[in-house]
Amino acid sequence: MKNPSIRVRLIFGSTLVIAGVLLFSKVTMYREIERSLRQELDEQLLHSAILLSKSAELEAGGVIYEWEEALQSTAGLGIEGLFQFWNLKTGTTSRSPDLGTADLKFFHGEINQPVYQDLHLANGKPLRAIGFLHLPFTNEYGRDEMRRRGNILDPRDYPQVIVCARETTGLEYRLDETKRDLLWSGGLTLLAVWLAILLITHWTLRPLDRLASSLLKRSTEVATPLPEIPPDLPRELVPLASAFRVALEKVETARAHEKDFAFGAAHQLRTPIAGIHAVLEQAISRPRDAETLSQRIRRALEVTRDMRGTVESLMSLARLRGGIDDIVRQPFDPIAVLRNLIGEEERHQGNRHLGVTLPEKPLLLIGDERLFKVLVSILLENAFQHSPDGGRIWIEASPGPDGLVLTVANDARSFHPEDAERIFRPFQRGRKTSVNTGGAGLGLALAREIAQRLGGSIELDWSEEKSVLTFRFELANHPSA
Amino acid sequence: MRCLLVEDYLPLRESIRECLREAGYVVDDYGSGDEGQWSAENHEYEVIILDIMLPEVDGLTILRSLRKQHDKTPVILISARDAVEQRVDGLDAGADDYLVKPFELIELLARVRALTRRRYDRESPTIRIGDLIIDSLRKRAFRAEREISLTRLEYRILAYLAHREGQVVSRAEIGEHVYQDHDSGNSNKVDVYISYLRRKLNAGGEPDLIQTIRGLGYVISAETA
Repeated sequence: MKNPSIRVRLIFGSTLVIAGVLLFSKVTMYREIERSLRQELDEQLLHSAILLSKSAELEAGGVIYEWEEALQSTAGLGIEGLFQFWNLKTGTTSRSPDLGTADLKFFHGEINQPVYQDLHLANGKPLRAIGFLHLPFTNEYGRDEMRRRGNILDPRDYPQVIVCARETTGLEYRLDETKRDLLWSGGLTLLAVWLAILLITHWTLRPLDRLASSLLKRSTEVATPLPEIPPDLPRELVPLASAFRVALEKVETARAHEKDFAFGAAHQLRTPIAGIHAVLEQAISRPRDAETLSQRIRRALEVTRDMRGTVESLMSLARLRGGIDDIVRQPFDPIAVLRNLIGEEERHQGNRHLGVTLPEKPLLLIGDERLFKVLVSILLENAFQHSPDGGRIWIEASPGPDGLVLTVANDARSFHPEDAERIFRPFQRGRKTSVNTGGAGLGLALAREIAQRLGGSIELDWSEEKSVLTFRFELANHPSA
Repeated sequence: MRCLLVEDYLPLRESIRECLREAGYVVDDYGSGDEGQWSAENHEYEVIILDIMLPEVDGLTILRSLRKQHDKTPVILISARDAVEQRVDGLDAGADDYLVKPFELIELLARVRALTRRRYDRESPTIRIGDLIIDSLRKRAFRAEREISLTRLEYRILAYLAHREGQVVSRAEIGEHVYQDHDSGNSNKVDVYISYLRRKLNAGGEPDLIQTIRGLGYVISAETA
């Protein structure tokens, strides 16, 4: 299911489970009540049957039904329901007055073993009945009488059957009521559970809704802080919200860098174009002599050269980031490369106190020599460009645990620690550096990209105490890129 | 008329400076934000042209600082940032105009003229004071249909006085607005050039438009004639 709803899942899930539990418990409860009521009825029937069986007394003349005498008294029988006696010896039967001339069904089990049956009266009313085969009761008086008359009767010759019955309409009605009550209570329980789930989920998820709406609102606002995670957000959702916030922050940072890149690119390309345009527009704004015109054209050409450098650096950066250029892996001596580049840089940008520490023996590395040269050139140019006249530059290379470690340090009048990461971003420079000071601000971005492609890294360290800026480049011997 | 130009890209700064100077403006130009801010806060300008991306202090910070100090000098922002929101930011920061690089120098010049006119409540580039007409587009002056031949400095003094028609302008103010070097505008020099101007303006026997207010300065007005 796409985007399943917590509420719906909870409601359906809990409905299924609770309905199952409720059904089982209600059915069990109903069965227990029914069993209890029916058992109570059966016990009452048994009680009546036993009472009645005691009223069948064997005397000298045969079986006397004392209950018939009792009916004449004011106390009555005290037995509810209908009953009927059968004297199996004589084949006669006698009925309770309520039966009139109607007969109950004749049935019984073994002697003294009552059995139960559900019956219906002729008018259709349901009955519960007990059939009881027993022998008539004799007491001392009856036995004396039989002895006196010389007519000893054996109760075994006078088996009696009692069928005792009670209407079950009331019982069935009570059971129906119980069933209805149980159904209602089950339904209400389910409803209460649904309501509770709806309320709890609404209450629990409300902070999430708030967070979502503030995020939505935030998406239409520019440069406002990200919404905080609401303190009442359920604990289970906090990791999700935190992860989302972290992701959003990363996206925002990436967007900010992208924006900076776009601004930087716009500035670095539009400003020189504006410069060329202004120089040429000014050149033709009035009649000027050939020498003045020539000077202005040369000026415009200088600007285009700068622009070409910017565009080439930008293209190199794009190629490196896009992984378009293949990395060449061949053996080369980085120390020899370093010596040449330091010499060249010194010739072009003298007036610095240079301290160079290089290993005397050649070092053999496997990697891309061309990219290594570009990277080292950038670091050297950077050191020369950003150190003051007469400042010091230290270059040190040594074999590292897995390749080469190169450090290039220079005097720097001022450096803001917050610039440490910023200067590695395209078109970004130190806060105190003019955006138009030599190059386009792409060198260090390019250097870091190359270092990564070569499987190495560049780190920057600023010593405020000594005012020295140090770049440390580690090159792995077996580039992973 | 004195303009402040703060732009750190040298080829562009040089061209704008030359263009403005050729148009008769006195220009102070700087390549860094802190120098530009200092100058803006310590001198009076007709117009300030301010790049946004500057080292040390950016253009928007300078602009906000000026507006915070109730400095109403018209400011034109020039920037490579062309997005609407960036232009809105610039104008909201208190800029009077915003030009996206690259731009035409003649357009920049026209905007500088427009802001200068607005600053002095002028509706047209042509200023009329009695029978004196000053064409600020062509940098020429006429009186009673006679063209007056003026040197660049004489024209600057006349144009500045004319922009402030009816107001007493001190010698120091004149010096501040017409001399390239802030320190070279001493009283005597101004007095000398005013006397040259009077001579040229009144060559046809017309009444003197420039009146000397003793101890205070000069005022140009048709009513003083």
